[in-house]
Amino acid sequence: MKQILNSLDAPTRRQFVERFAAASFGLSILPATQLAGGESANQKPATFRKAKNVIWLMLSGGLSHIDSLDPKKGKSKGPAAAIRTSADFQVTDFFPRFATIADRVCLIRSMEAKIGVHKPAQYFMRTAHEPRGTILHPNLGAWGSHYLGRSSKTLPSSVCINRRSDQGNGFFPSSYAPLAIGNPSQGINDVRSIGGKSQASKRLTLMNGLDADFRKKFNDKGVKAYNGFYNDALALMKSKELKAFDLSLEPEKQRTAYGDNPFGQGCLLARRLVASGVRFVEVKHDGWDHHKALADEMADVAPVFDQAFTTLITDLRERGMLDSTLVVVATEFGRKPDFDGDGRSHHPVCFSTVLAGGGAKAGFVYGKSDDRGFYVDENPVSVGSFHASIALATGMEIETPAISPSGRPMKVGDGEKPVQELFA
Amino acid sequence: MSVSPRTTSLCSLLLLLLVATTHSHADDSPDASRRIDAIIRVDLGKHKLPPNPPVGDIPFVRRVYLDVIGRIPTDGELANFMNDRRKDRRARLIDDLLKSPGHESHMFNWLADMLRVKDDYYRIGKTWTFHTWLKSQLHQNRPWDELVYDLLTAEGRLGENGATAYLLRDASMPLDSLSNTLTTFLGANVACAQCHDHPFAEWTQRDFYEMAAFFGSTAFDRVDTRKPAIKLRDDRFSKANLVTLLQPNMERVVFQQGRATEFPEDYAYSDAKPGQKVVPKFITWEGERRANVTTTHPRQLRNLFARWTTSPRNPRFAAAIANRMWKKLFGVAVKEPVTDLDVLDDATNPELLKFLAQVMIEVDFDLQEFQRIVLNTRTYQQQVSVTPPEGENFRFPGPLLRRMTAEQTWDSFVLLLRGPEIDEQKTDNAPLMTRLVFPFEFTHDRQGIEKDREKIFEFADSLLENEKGKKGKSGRSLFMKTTKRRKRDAWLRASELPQPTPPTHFLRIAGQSAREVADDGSTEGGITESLAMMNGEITKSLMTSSSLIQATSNKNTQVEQIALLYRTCLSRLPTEKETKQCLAALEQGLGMGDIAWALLNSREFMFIQ
Repeated sequence: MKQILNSLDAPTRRQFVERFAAASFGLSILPATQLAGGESANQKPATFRKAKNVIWLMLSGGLSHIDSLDPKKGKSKGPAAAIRTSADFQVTDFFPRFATIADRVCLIRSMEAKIGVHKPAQYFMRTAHEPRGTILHPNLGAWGSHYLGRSSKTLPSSVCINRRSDQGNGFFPSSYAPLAIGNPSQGINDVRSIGGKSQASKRLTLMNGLDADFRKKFNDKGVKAYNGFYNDALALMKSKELKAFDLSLEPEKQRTAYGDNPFGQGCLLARRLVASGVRFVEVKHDGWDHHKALADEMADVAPVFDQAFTTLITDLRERGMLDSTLVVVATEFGRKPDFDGDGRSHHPVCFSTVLAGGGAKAGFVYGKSDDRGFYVDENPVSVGSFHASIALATGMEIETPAISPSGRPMKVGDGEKPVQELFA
Repeated sequence: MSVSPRTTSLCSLLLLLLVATTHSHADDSPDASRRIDAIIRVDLGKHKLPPNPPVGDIPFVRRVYLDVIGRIPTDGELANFMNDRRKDRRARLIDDLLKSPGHESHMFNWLADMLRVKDDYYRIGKTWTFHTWLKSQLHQNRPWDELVYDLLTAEGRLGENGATAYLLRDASMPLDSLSNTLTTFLGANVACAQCHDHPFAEWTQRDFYEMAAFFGSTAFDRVDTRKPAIKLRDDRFSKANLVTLLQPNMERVVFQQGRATEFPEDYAYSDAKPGQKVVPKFITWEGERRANVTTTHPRQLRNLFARWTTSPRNPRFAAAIANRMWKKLFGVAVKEPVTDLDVLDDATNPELLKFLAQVMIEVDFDLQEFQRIVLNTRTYQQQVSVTPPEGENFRFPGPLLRRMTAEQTWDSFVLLLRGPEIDEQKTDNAPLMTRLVFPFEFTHDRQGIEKDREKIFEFADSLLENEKGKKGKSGRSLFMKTTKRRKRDAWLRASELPQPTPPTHFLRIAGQSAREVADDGSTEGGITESLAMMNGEITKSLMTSSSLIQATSNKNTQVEQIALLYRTCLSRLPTEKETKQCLAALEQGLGMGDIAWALLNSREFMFIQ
């Protein structure tokens, strides 16, 4: 450990030690930029730090690029027709509303990954690392907390909607893990203490007193993490910003516009949360694993996404938040050009993603797949580069590695290069 | 323990073991337990590490209750143990707990995470027959090899044979199904080879397809019951009605002549051509002989695969389940992750892993017996260690300090609310499915089903005849009515609740798996969980109307009441200092419910010592 510390340059070493101390004793985390002291010599693009917030929409199951954002002719063509959009590219008619705001998005048609199994592929898409038995990797929300500090005094810096809080903090302290919202319409539950204020506070003091010996006896990572969760939960209970989680404060019209379903309401909640200071929000949307009856299943699920995404972009723009909010559409892999029966199977070597707002170019297509949609033809974008690009847009010092608890230097996007051309 | 007829290959060690197990108690616990201890001592010695001191009786009782029956002990159970003056009381307690209904419930949760047990499979419908089948296997303590063999070879309709649900789970993705089968039951890290040669391990895509070929003639394709339902529907029965009625009948696993596995169109290697028929071939591991494929009859290939998989001679089957069970009891496996046993020598203690596999074979895959041997080791009965720093191997000086699983937490809460009768309260929804099974043959394809309309409708009418007057049932609930859940049904053990519970349920917040992928339960915790622990509905009930609070009110003095709360929540007596702290809190206006709150929210409650 000492050797590793000595091999780092001074600000990094101090940063690591302070960070370690903060994580160990539950102190608030100082932003890395304040600790870093000297300026990095790296050139920063004009959009560096333009995106204050990230809304990451995760289409879980594997979005068929050919049937959505990268329509093909001939044998690969699916049940949907290609339609014109407000930009210089086409999408399929499963996404008619998307087509009307295509001039606001940056489409990437040359994503490349390697894992074709859902769980590890989702892990890979969220962390830019393959799952290993020896270490957990952080998602972009946790990297944000590392490089940029807490984004709000009382609200969490990272929230995930419609999923659990795993695939979150990785090797970083558990305080960087996202807060999980199981049902966006219910918002956050159990934030009111049982009984009166003074009763609750006395009870808490009693609990901490009675439990002190145990916490002292077991100097354990898991026990310490729990102390942190309780502290954060208590801070949240007192927060004036709690109403950000309450969708009932939105006008009925607005709620309907996003769609009366967990994904639509999740997108609306994401907008409320970033407006209140949450930096990174993931909204998960299930149901994209179309091995069979792809036509029917796309007809079920695509309109849900199409409506919520389009409303979100429009809403953010009308509120003047689109420039500072980077909306990401991600999925764990694409689907094969050839049909297997009436569905398509997993296809990680070529698929599509979307960036919108936060300094991303608008009405722009980056990369190209081959005629069938099987391989990337031009400008491949690895999942690591995708992450590095988003990280750079949000102002993370991606060249400075973080040190994992076992002393390994780790980089956001696994050290791959950001794609500068994605940003204006 | 009786010797089953399957036990044909008894070696001398097994004989020794059998002799030992007939009177196996604390001081003369099974030889296998002693051998496990010895292997660990040697390994600890090699690394100049001391074993942890023995664990005291009280933490031991709490630990073993949680590990074997998945909940904390009651005050009475704790007292029974302490009043037992026999020298072998620990071994006796282990035996009793392994035979109790709580153990079945706990094992069900463990398997449900591994096998992704859900109430509903996407567009396949209800799978309650599977839950009931699995629970009955656990009730009989069915040997693991037989249980897995049944899963892999199951045939017939979902409504009749619950075991078919294992393959139907991945009906539309046979390759994913195989990948899960190989990683779960054999620890073969093949997932990557589904699409290309594994970048680090030995597996090739060809290996993967050769294994898939064993399932080539098995049809477990999803039948989309919506289409026949549309064909059949009329004024009385809607599409949704009929989908529910057809699913237990049409979802099935069958042999299909003429089907075969082919290499995929994007097969990129020169040793086969895309579209070429794949000849089945068993994978093998370094240093092991490859098993022969002894049949060419497509009808028998799947059974052969299942025999090979579950054989004691399979180089990984016993090791995989032994490694998983060890993790269950010690908090970390001998080889992590449990889904990758490609190189046994990569285990933290390879000799231990190999011996555990041998023990598993020698007990004929009897999981209760295997657990009994492990629970009777000195190693298990030593004090816990804290999690070592990342990258450092844990060498088992004792078990790890672990957080309770979501199910253990919930089941302990429900115990405190309602008392130990919760272990006996079981739900069985399978009859709701089996009653829908047609007592006649019918045409399975979408076109032909119309010919059987009369028969099907007649049967449907007979189903509804006994339910006249029950108005207001529509859609799916016409045929698959669920009994109305009473309020108290909410406080059942996790194994008796919906699988999995909805995302906002306490169990899910505390880390219950969504059952989408295998081994996905989590004990990491988070802010939402802390909120639920402090302010949630179950905590509120515990503070007011629980059997815990009721029992306290029967005690005369505050000191006695505090002591009871401690015994019930933390399985121990309070120290003098703690009693004083509690008394002072009562002085300040707090009640017994508040003290219970403080104990249940403590780290001491959540972490298993």
